Amino acid sequence: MWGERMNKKVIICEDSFDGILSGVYDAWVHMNENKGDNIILSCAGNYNMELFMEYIYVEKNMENAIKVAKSIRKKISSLAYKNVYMTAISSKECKADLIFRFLKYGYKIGRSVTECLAIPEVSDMMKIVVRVGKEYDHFRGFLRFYDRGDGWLQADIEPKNDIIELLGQHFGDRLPNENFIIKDIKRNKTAIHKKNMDYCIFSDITLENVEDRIAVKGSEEYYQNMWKVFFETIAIESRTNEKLQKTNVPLRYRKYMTEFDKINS
Amino acid sequence: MDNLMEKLRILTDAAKYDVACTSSGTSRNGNGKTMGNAVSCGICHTFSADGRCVSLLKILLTNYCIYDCKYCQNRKSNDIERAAFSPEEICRLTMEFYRRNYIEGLFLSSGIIKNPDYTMELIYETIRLLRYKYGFNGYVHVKGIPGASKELISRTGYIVDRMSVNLELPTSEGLKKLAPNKTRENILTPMRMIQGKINESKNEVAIYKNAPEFVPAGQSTQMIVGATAENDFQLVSVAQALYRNFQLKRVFYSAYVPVNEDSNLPAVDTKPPKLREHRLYQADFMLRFYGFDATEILSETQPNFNVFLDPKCDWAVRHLDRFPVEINRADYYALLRVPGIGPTSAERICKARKHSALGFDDIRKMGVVLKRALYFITCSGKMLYSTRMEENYITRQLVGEDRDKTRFIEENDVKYHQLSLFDDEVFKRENVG
Repeated sequence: MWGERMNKKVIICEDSFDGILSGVYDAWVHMNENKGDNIILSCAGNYNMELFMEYIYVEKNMENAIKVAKSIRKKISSLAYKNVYMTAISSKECKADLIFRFLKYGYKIGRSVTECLAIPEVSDMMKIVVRVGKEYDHFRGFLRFYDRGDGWLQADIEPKNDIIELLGQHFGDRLPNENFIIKDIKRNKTAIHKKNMDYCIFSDITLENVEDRIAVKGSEEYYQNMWKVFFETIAIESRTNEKLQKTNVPLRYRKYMTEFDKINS
Repeated sequence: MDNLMEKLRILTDAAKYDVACTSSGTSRNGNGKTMGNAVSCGICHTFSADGRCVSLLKILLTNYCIYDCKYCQNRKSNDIERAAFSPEEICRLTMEFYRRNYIEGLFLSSGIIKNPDYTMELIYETIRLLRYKYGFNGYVHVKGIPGASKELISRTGYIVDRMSVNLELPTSEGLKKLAPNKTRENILTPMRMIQGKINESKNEVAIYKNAPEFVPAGQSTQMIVGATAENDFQLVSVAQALYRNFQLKRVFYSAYVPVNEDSNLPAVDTKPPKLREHRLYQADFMLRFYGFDATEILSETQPNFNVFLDPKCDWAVRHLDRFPVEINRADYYALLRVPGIGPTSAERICKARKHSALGFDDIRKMGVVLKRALYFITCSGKMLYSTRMEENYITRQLVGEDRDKTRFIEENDVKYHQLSLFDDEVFKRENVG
């Protein structure tokens, strides 16, 4: 019994998609060596130390991460890969271990694993994927760019889940001829898109010239006011229903939405 | 306030009663050069104070109109502020709004100036400018103007995503009474033509991959509800005919908001029938996704919706002999008919039960609303609770649940709240007939 306890291992990985996949790789190696099931995968910062546990720290390793990514797509399915990605960028604390446990089923069952919703790991993961997907959908609509007046558009966001890469891709495809910056205020991450590039650069570094909010003036102010006029006018007074509006645009999204600023004209 | 802002206010106000603001139906990647793409499920960009989704810049080209439709605020005989955009102004607004991610695209409609052809030509010119000069690759929805030439409508169809011709009123008698300048014929002809062109272009695209697409997001229409005396059964039957005979993508229902005084119309202080509109959308979903026929939802003997129960629950309690269904065996369509099970959860059930028998806990996780479904299903032969399979009992349970759900719809409708039938222990469905 003593020995069993000592055998329990916690593998701690970086809190990112590639970090978690690197962790999965090492967890798999340890599992095969020990022929046991007592391995827990956890993201850095998300665990309470316990006695009699062995802690192993795993650095992000792109080579291993890519190996795992490839094997998920090949041996399970691209849908499973997408679900793993969505889970990895979620704000759920136990996500790394959930992914690890999901993959154990995945490699056993194969491509139909995503249908087996009676398995708790699969249905838990689906719930997270739906939640993250919903937030991404919301931000595709609710994100607002403002023209900084220096040839760049900027959008500030504070999403619950780490969806900046998805948003960068979406807007990179949509606005190929614009320079834009999307800034995740809480995580201090930015997505940068330069005109005529078909990709975004992602950075964890706070850029000095990317201030939180610049003073709105000139044509930017003009179009913001036009938008507010449109927004106020399009509502039908005799159908006013703020409760429904609040359900559809929850307050947490409104902070950076132009139309929910007070009209300043 | 400058001139353009004033125009925007007038022409937004004039367009706000049109319902359709969806940007769904087309999926198109960016072209890597100019602005815009389209997402098949559509994107809501904000929600206005009435709780409706705002997805497109919904404006009229002009609210000058030679017609005098009695239900319309822009009718010729109304003394209101009038304005007209130039095509360039519309393009600039669309582009500037789109790059700030305010909108998903443009929804352009118009009052009739001079004649239908002239108006349609102006709409075409605007969209052509937006597509070719400004390079806009996002979503565009325009109105097909009844009475415009075939050639103009067909030219426009190749550069927009969706086109809609409004049916306005569900019967031709209603149309005669309230829209003297429009005829049923005038409305159905372009609708039929667009349908033909869509099918033709689909065939062409199947053979030549680069053939131009005609109205790729399909056509839709809209009916005004509550301005004339049609019953719900007539409305649902018309909608079904439109889906079946004209292959429409969507039929929208618009609760009539009285804007004009007229002896043929409801009084100006009448509240828009929002609950009725809500029930119509529920029935519409049953037609489109649940495999119901209009005659199953309503009938000559029960021509109107049950105020207290959504039409799917209503159908289920009237057909208790078909229930309960066994989750682990019933086919997809039988599952779909269970209140609380939608297309997504039905599909999940069908896939998951291949791997293991499902219990109530499992299907709850798949999105089944057990509060509603529990009266109609068994899992491995067992019901969740032992419930009476009795119409009145189940109705009573479901009514309370529906009331919680629909309360917010008619928040302002005092009448609906004052009804205290809900709390009546001997409440019977017949009482509300």
